Amino acid sequence: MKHVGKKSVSFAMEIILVLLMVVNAAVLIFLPKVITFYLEHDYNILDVFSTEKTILLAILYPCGLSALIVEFSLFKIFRTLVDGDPFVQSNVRYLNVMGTAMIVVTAFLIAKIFLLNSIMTMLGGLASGLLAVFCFVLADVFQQAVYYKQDNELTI
Amino acid sequence: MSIIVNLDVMMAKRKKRAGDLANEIGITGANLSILKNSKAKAIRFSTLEALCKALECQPGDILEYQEDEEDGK
Repeated sequence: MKHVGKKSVSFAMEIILVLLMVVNAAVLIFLPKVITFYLEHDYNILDVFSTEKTILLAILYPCGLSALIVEFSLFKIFRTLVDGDPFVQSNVRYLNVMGTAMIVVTAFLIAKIFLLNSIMTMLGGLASGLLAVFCFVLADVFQQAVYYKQDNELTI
Repeated sequence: MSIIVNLDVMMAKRKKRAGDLANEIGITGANLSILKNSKAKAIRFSTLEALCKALECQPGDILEYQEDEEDGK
């Protein structure tokens, strides 16, 4: 199974990420309706202007936007993998952007722990925090790789 | 940069064209251009050896150290 290049796992991931971005954007557009549906069916909260709905909207909008940024960054990184040249400066930038977006998600999920807690919120907060650290470390690793690659390319 | 590559001078002295020299020493024209324009970060001994052989010269004829103005103060 090919991991890098055309017709590889990276190419499949590119397509999956495009689909994810479309779904993410659709959910963001219809977020008030989705939350109303969720609250009505899972919690029997029928008040459209309930506090729960306001809190969920205030938390899920920035989280959704951050997720969209993460998906777009991943899409760009997988594009370089398909092209067969992943150690480029733009990937370092995208990894840092992803890390920052994950910090935003972590901050909002931590806020949700105090406002509207659930087990999934705590797990999500922990996972996004760890992913943020992972992204920043990976960005540093990529930066080193870019440096070595440039060094190698300019050694004649 | 402190190390000056005098490759173009030696090529002119030996009347060698860039394409011919690149073919002779087995590197691409683009890489020879990087070397000629002092854009290279390093040069392999094997490349230097091939250059010296092709241009019938010593490494010192191709590479020259010049003290930077800032370092000289």
